[in-house]
Amino acid sequence: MDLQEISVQLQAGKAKIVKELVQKAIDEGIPAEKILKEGLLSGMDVVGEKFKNNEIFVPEVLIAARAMNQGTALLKPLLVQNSTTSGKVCIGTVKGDLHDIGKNLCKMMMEGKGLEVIDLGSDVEPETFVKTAQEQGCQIICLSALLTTTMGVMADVVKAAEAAGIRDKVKIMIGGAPVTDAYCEQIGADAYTPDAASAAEKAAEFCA
Amino acid sequence: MTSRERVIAAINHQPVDRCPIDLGSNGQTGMNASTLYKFRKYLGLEEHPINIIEPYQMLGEIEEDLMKVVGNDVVGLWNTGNMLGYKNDNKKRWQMDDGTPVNMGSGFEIDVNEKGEKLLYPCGDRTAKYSCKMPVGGSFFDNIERTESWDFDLDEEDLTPVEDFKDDFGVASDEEARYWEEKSKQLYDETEYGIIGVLGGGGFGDVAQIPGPAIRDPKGIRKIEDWLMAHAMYPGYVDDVFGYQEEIMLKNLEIYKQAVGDRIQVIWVSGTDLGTQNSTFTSLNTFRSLYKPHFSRINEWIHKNTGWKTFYHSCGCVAELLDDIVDMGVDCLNPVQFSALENKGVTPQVIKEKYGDKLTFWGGGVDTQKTLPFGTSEEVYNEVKSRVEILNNNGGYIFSSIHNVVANVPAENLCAMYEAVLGKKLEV
Repeated sequence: MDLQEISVQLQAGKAKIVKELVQKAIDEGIPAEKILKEGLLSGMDVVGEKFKNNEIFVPEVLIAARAMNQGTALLKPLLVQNSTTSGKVCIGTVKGDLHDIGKNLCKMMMEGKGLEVIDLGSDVEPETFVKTAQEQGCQIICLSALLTTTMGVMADVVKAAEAAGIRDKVKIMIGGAPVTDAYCEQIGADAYTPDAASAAEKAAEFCA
Repeated sequence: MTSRERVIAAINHQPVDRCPIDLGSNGQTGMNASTLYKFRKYLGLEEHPINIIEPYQMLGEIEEDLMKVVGNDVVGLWNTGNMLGYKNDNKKRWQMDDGTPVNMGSGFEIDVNEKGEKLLYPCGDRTAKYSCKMPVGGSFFDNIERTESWDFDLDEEDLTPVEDFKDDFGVASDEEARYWEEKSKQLYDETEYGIIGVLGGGGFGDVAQIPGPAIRDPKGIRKIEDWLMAHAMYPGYVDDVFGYQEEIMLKNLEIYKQAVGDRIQVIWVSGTDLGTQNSTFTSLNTFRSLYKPHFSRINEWIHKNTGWKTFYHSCGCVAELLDDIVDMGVDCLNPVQFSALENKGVTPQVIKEKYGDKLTFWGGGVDTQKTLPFGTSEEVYNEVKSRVEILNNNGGYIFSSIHNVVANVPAENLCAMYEAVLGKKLEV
């Protein structure tokens, strides 16, 4: 079967059809890795690009990510452990910040790039980011903040990573409404991205 | 000009003697209690606990003494109940984590967990599940998601949108109407301020309201991501919720008109955020099919039956919606978030030139994501001065910062902000 069809249905957010097509591809003996890459992830690539260009919007991204997750669930038992993930990321909103819409979108987009994402949720202590990165071997720590009153915590995470001696092993990415490139430079983080699709691209680039 | 004359001139796009100022007339032009307490102290005004006028964002009541110092021109006619479902009677003393003393309503019921997080009961009802949380060191509340993730395998025709949201919207009681009447008379007769009626109720799909901060037992599609997905998966569900909300809103507008008459000049209709930092939440098509018809009918009723101007708040980059916003009958737009609008090329000059004769810009006076909290006083002064020069040209402008002044904003910067608008030093 043509795996492109999976990609097309995923882009339309048709979770039920995506599931059926993924099952059909499995039944036809197509390797799980191939279905994932050429069907699901290629579909999410298009979704990310269109989102970045304002051709589609948050609702469409969310339903596409749901379709991807349902397809991925079928493939998971068949995938050789870690054979397809290109990197590991831990992500969360910083201490004091409960706003996680942007963070959740980033997580979905990063999974759409084939990255393994550990979601630490919201209101996360600096030490938790660092400890998770250490224990789980994450290449990237991703920080999100909506508020001017909480974005300062991002600098604390950078310092905590330095204090733990892992700063040279981990990239720190930041984002959220009040965050800027200048702020990224000021606190010594590695990258600021203005939207979820760019964040996923940058994360994939760091893990390549 | 009196304050009210100034506001009336401004919203009718006529010249004003000085730029009109709004501090605290509604939930988007106010000041967090923590900053307000420090600002009052800095100015040498009487130190006392701050009355909380809007507990979700912990906005403090702006009292007459401070209004005089900063040159405030507008006051709000608030409802008796607040966003968390209880009345602001200022009878319960409380202290924010940074030590700010505040007076909450007696229906303010919270538990503090072992981490120090504050967990709030909706409507002060201790039998309900917590609806909101304030993190440790936080300065306002956010919603707690109390429903399971939605099962989108369900068929749309099996859903019950109106039943799910029936507790979220209600027709005003006689007691409420009497309060509106009395309070509007008091504000109109005993002050010279312009008056905005903070009725609310027209905020279709407001993501601060969808989880149901004041609802004891929320049902249906309530998680923000599910709600956004519903726009694509179940547009009929979203439209039915909006339809029900519109029906109630139109009834409340009738009651409101009878109660307040022409004593208010502006009515606060909606706080729905339509924009993100870079774009809109939904496509233009989705906005036009799901949102615009409801907003339009509300505005049409107001314009047909009253002399009130309509006030709409939407954060974010709404650049691509501006033509539709005008078309659907919005008169006053807040908070005019240039830090987002400029991502699509909409600067103060551009918006004034293109929409200045159609919209009154209510806000936009200073950036609150960078300049006001982190800039120097001089940077604040210069930014405010330049924005006011552009936006206040020939009326059509009411000054306020972009959205509320949140915690940790230096008092010096607030002084610089008002001095730039007034063109003189603040006098206490």
